[in-house]
Amino acid sequence: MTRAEYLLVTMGGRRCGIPAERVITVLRRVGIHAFPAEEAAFLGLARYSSDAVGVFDGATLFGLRESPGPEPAEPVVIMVSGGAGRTSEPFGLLVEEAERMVSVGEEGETLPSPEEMLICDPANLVASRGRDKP
Amino acid sequence: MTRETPHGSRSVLGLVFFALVGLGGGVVLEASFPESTPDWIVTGVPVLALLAVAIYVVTVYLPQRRLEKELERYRVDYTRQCGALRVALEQLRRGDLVAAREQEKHLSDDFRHSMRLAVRAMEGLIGEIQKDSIEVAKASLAVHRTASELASGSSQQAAAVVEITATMEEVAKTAAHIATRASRQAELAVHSEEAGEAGAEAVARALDGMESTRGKMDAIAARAEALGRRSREIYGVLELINEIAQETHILSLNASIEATAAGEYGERFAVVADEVRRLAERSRESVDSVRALLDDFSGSLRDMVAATDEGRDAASGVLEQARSAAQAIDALRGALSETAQASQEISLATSEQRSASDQVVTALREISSVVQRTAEGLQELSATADQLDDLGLAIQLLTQSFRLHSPRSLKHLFLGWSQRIAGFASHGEATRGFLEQLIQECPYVEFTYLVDTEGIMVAFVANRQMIGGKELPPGVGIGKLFSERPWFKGVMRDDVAVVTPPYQSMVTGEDCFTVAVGVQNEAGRVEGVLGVDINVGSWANI
Repeated sequence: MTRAEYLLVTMGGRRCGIPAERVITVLRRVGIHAFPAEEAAFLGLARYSSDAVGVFDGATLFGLRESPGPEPAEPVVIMVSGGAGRTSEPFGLLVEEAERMVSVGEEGETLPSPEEMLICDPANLVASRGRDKP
Repeated sequence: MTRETPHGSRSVLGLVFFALVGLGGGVVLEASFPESTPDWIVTGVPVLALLAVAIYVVTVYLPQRRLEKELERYRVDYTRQCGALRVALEQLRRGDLVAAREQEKHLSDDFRHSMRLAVRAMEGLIGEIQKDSIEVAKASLAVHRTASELASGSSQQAAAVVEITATMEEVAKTAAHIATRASRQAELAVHSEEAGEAGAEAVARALDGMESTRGKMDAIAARAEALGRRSREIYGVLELINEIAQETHILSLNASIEATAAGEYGERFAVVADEVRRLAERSRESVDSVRALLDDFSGSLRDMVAATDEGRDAASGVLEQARSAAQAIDALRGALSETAQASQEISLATSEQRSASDQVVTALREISSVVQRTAEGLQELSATADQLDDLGLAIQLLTQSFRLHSPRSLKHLFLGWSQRIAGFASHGEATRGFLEQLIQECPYVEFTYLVDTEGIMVAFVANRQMIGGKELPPGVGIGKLFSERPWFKGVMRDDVAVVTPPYQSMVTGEDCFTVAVGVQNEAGRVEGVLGVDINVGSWANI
């Protein structure tokens, strides 16, 4: 078994693991500007490295709930890569909490059970929806 | 029938004497002096004698005879008058004034007039005595009743006076007790007033203490408010620390992400980043702990502030109450002072009341003595009334021994009834009807009955309203013998009415007397005796 790194977050009340290679950075106090869109999970646009990137409700985007819930007390936006590279086609996932990095593998810790940590890979999400719409 | 009186015989003898003297004188003169005596003398002397005889007859004898006849008539009339007078007097002796008046027609006018006046006077006198005796009886009965009622009332008064005396003695004792209690109350009031003054001072000190406490409570509240502000400042600092910890956490995460991206070159950095994340985590946990402590502290502080506010409010309330208590104590002191004064006045008044009660008790005892004497006097008066009643009855019975033309004359009244019964004496039912009618018309009659000449009772009626349901004794009733009773013997002996002295009735046990009258047939022969028993208690209703 190869070693894998995940960022352990909480979305929709559930603990989820986002593969570390997809995580660009973790941001706090991100200003999200509402923008009309048909996507239910789309929250708006945020400024990141002089670019405007879309921010989505993580739980809604990964199908943990049908629509965004109330804004968390300490909202955290996880900038992830939807493209091939680590920093390509970035977009934000609004999560309730970013907990820590977990390592799973030969020397890593034991992967939590699916009930304890749901693997949420943005690449899979982008692949299923087409590259135009992360 | 005439009778020659001695006076008439003497007249005839005188006439013969005069004739013989005249004739004898002529013979003697002729024989003595035959020559010298003239013839005319011898002849004249007998003539003169005859003349004298004639004169005598005309002037003496004939008037005398007329007078003797007149005298005889007077004598006969006198004898008749004396007989009638004797009968009338006998009727009077028997007390039968009615019969005596009937005898008046046999008397001369003078006697009749005198007898009438005498009988009328006696009737008037006896009737007046009868009426007066009844009035006396009624008066004595009224006096007796009044005296009895007054005696009863006096007894009740005596009892009431005794009761009032006992009550007044109790009142006096109570007054003494009240006086003692009032005096004690006055002392207590004085002590209470002193205690009230001490209480007022204590309340004043309590007021000062409460004022001080309220000031301290205000100071505590101010300090708590300051602590609250400082707590909020600490919250701000904690928020800042938490913010820094969050930022540090994010930084450590980003460092770990970068270390992961750096591959094996970033492993050591990843360790540092993880340590930083742990420190940030501990900082957050410490902030949470401090915040929890601060929350507790703030909660306690809020509780303390609330308690202080409540305490201050309570202190204000207590202060107000203490002020009210101080005012109440002041008022109470005034009231106690008045109470002490009033108690002293009550003590004085009750002492006077006790003295007055003692005087009343003394007066009541005197009244009780007077009432007792009055009761005794009334009892004597009642006894005197009884005696007067007895005397009235005796007088009444005395007067009832006479028979008068008066409805109150029992003899006359029941002789009238006996005359009505006379024709029915042998008819039991008719006689009974008369007797019942007698009782109806004479309600004072207890019993009435008819006894034949053998003394056997043939009719009997009782006044049920008077005797009620009392049973008749065995010796009384139809067929019983009464021949030995004095009233029967009296009537049968004298053919008159009899009134007996009072005796005790065998039925009612009360005093009564009997009026018995003979029942005569048309021939005037007694064929029975009507007896009427009259209750003494109701005789005044005659």
